[in-house]
Parts: sequence; C-alpha cells; structure tokens
Amino acid sequence: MDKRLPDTADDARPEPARDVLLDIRNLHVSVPGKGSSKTIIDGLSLQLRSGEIVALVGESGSGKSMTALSLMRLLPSAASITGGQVLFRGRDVLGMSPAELNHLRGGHIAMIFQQPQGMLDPTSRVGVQVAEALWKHRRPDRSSVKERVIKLLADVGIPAPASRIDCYAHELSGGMAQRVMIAAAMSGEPQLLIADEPTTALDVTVQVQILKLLDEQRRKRNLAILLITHDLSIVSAIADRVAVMYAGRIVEEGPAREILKQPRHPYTRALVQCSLLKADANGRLYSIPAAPTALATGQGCRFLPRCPTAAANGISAHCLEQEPQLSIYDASCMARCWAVACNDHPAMAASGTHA
Amino acid sequence: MIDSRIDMAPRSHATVGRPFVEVTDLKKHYMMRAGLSLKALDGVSFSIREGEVLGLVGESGCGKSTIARVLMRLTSATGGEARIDQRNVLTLNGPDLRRMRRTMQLVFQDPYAALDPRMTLGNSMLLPMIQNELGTRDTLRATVLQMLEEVGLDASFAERYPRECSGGQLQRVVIGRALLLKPRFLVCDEPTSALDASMRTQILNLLVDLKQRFGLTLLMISHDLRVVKHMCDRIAVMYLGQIVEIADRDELFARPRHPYTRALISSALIDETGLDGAASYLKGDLPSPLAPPPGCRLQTRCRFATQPCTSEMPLLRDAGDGHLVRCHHWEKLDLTSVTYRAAGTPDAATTGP
Repeated sequence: MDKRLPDTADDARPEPARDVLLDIRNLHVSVPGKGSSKTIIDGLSLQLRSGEIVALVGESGSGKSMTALSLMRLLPSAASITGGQVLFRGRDVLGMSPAELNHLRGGHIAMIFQQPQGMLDPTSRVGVQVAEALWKHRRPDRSSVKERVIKLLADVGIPAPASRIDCYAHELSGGMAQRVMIAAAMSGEPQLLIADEPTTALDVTVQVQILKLLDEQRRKRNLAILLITHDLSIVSAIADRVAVMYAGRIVEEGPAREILKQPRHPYTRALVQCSLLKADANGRLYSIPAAPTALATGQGCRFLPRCPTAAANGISAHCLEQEPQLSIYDASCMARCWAVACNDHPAMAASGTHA
Repeated sequence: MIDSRIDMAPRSHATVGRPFVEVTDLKKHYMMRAGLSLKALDGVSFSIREGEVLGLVGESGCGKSTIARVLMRLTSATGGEARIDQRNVLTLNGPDLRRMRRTMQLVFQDPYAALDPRMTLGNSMLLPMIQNELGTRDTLRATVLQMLEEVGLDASFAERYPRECSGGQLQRVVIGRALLLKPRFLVCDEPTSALDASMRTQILNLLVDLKQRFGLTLLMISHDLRVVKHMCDRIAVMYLGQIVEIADRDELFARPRHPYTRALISSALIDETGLDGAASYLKGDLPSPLAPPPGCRLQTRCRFATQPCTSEMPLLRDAGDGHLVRCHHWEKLDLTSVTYRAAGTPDAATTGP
C-alpha cells in the first residue's frame, strides 16, 4: 500500500517530507479543442500534509475544480490526464485499478460540493446516505450502524440527530444539508477531504458555522482539506496555505496569511485588491484590465496581457519571451513572475520548480 | 413620432431629494398546504429618495427578492402600498401598468438565465423597446449600439450569442437592456453574486457611472455587505420578512443597533475576525419561515434574548436621526465590538482587529 514510486526526473521540487499525504506532480489535463487539444491544467504541482488546510483559489475557468476532479479520477469523459503523477500516500492514483479507485473514493478521499441540496439523493433518507460510505469502506457491525450514524450527525452539529436520520434532503436547510454532506463524507473516515466551494451557496452567518465545522473536523481527525474557493476573505480565516491558480497553473503559493497580506505576484495582488471592495480616492473600485484570456500556447507570461505591473513599468523582454517558473521568494513562498524572480532572488529563478 | 434615440443627456443628477419610492406596510403571504401561510413580507415599510441608493441585505429567504418582485408587479401583494413617483404601482393595470413598468427595471443575478440563448445580444436588447413601441427594428439599431458603448462593450457584441461571452460581459448587456427603456428606478437583485472578483468590481463601477449618468434611483439587493457598503447611501437589513434595522451606511457600519446586523457585519469581516469572532454573535440556523418563532423573530438565534423577546414582537423604533431598529434591548446593548464577549468574561471570545 505504501510503496513509493520513484521520483521523476522532471520534478525539481525538494523530496517531500514524510508526512506528505497528497503529492501532485506536474499534472497535465487537456480537453479536445478546435483542431488540437487544449491544455487546461498545465504542469501543476501541489502537496498536502495531514491535518493541513490548503486553499486553491482563482477565478472561474482557472482550472481549480478540474484539479480536484483529477485527484479522484472523476474528470468528465472529454477531459484526459496527459501527464504527471498524483501520489496519495505514495501511491499513484493515476495508475490505480477500478477496484483500488473504488476504495480510494470515499474511503481515503472524500469530496463535498457547492450545492449540498443537489448532491443529496432526494429520494433516500439522510441516515441511509450518511451510512453509505460506512457500509462500503468500514465493514461495520450491522447493529452498530444506526448508532454510528447518529454520532456522525451529532458530530457535525445537527441538533436532535436521532430524529433527523429519517429526514429527506428537502426537509433540511442549506446549512443543515451541508452538515449532512460533511457527515456523509466523514463516515468513510477519509484522510483527505476535497471541499469544492463548500460555502458559496450559503448565507454569511451559516458560512462561518460550516467553516468552523471543517476546521474542527480537521483538528479532531487530523484531516487534510483541499479547499477550493474564489472567496479570498475566507481563505486567511481557515487555510494554512494558499495556492493561487491562473490559466491552469499555480502562480503563487505559500502560507495563507502571509500571501494574502503581502502578495508578490501581480495577479494575486490584483485579486486581493478586487476582493477588498475598497474604493480609491475617486470612489472607484480596482479592477483587473481584461478578461482572462484562453490558454495561449505561445511563449511568455500568461498573465502578461492583463498584468498591471507590466502596464505600469513597461514590459520586459523576459515577460515576452519566456514563461516564468515558480521561484521561491521567501522561505516558504513561491511566485511565478519575472519581477519577483529577477529583482529579489535571481539565483532562485531557475531552481524553484519543474519544467 | 417617438424619438428612437435614447436621451443620453444626464438628468439633473444626484439631487437626493423627495421620496421617490415609498413602500408602506407591504405584505406578501403565500398560502401553503394545510392552511399555513408563508409571510414572505410581513409589514415592510421604507422609502428611497430620488437619486438615492438603498441597500437591502439579509439572508436567503428573508424576503428581499420578494420585494423586488412585488415592486415590479411580477407577483401580487397581499396588502400595503408601494408608491413610485407618487403612484401606487400595486393598483395599476392595463396601459397604465405598461407605462409604469418602463420607468422601473430589474437586473437579476444570473445573466445567463436573463438572456435568451438563441437570440443575439442585439436582438435581446431590441425586444423590450419594440414591445414598448419605441420604434422599429431599423431605427432602434443605432440606439442599441450606443447603449453597448455606454456599458463598455463594442458594437460587435450586438451580433454575438450569450454562449460566446463571459458572465461579466453578459451582465453589462442585461444592465444596458434595462436602461434602454429609460427607467428612473432600477432594482438590482444580487447583480454581482454570480461573477468573479475582478468582474464584480467592474460591474459595480459601471453601476455607479450609469446611476450618475442616467439620474437613477437604485435599490441594491445583496447578501454581500461589502457590496452594499460600497454602493449604498442607506441600508435596510431584513430578517424573516421584516426590516430589523435601517440607517445611513456609515452609521450602520459604525454603530449597528440590532444583534442581527452586528452578526452580518462580523461574518463579512471573517478575514479580520477569524472563525470564532465571525461566528460569535449568532447561534443556530434560520428557522423555517413557515413557522417563525413568536415574539422577536431572531430570539432563537440571539445571544441577548430574554423574556419580552420570546413573547412580544418588537416594533421598529427610531434610535435617533432616522436610524430605525427593531429590538427590545437596543438601548442597553453595546454592539460596537466585532466579536461577542459574554458578560463578565472579557476575554472569552477571540480578539478583533
């Protein structure tokens, strides 16, 4: 089970520490486009440790949900993984047999989504749905199942859980439905939870409660959580690390609070400024110039057409000619930007990452 | 002959003056099975002065979108009055209603759903003008192109279909289409909730510009306090079909008087307060609107609920300078702290910023 696959030569990241639970290496995903295929995730690498919450942020279309689906091998049939590795506890998910995948999904990696009401089966009782992963992955004693389901529901803060197991999804509020989804995810005792916009459809006061619950679960169970969101305001409140995606690649990564307080990549900076909704002296809100462009296959930095730094300081030859690599700028922060790489750590520019 | 070009000259803008919209004791009850009624609006009163932007915030199910639908006559009211420019829109019918509808327009949350996928954007924009007999297809084309420019899009968008555009671009089209009928009152129901952060700021900037340019009076419905804080002059907070607080924007954010308003503001400041701080003022979930609790509607979730709260419905009272609040305890409560601290335990909650 824990057999480690040999490292690939093209991954220049340091050897992962022993407690790394999920190690995504140089992942490529493409979909068929007009004529040629289009790369939607382009060499993404990311690691998660047990008990850690990592937020994957970016605008719609940046590839964050596709990344999540790749981890579970749940990509839509048109999309295909064209390269890289997804090592979960040292085993490559991309090489797993259907039986192994069945065990992985729900038993090791669980997932919750934006619309809890839509993800619950409207025709089956809540208790049955929560017990599903329990039956499948934990071979419970028949007589103990009801008790364990009630305990799971109580554990996610559902009042009077014993009376709730016979409810249907439509009888639950949005917040309650998301709690049930979390209980159902936890029943398989996974080590990793992928939460794709788990609070986006919820009201603010309920959103806070669900985030608190996720935080509690990770502490109690030493659970790793990959939180996918476009809402930066929740990131610094809950996440340990953040990875910012743009056009299928990570452009900045590091400790959440540090990155959001002092982002170095122009895209992260622009996103942070947009999400603050603070007007300037003229009463204007900051906005990023153009819409995200579709993935270009040309050379140069992908953010260049929208880059405020380039617009203000002029475009350097570097930016035009070569895609920057992720370079380390502080002990634990990385950004994919020539300005960061050249000005601060020229020596790091080449060694920070993979091809 | 009707002038086919829109009047692009700015009106005597931003004269925040007489009440333009006056809603009094508005009620909307939906009859449900077994004689139950859902009081989506339970006696809502507010007014918006000409040129003013009023924000309406609250959680889903509180009735904010119902207000928009009732004002636009997309659904009937159970009782009350809604005067727009001194005419009660709830009693208008036939040609009068048709004429009135032109002066008030609605922008919805999801631009993909608001535009016909099989129609070019230009035709989508033309249709309401043709239906209102503002001119013919040929005479109105120039008007559409002019409006596209006004909302920051080039003429080529007239020939595009919704699927070829981003959400932000479509929301511009939806806003442009609403303005083509020269409304004086624009209701925006979560206009930026479906958009990414960078698109959101663009649309909000556009709305501010257009409001000035066309001299609009605006009702901004949103669950996002940052959005209303930026856009609005005054803000009304709703909970389960009632307004619980109304105040000028700065006053509301500096001195919220209602525990629910405080909770909303704290939740929106989650990046500053942390998880514990943001969640500290309220407990539990929204009760079913079919069976709201007796007395104060917030009593099941409020940290400060005591005896009168569980039996007596508080009235909307003036706390000074038109700051209205619906709470039995408003005079005694100190809600200035971002996080709730239980009495006697000053350090019980995590510290705010």
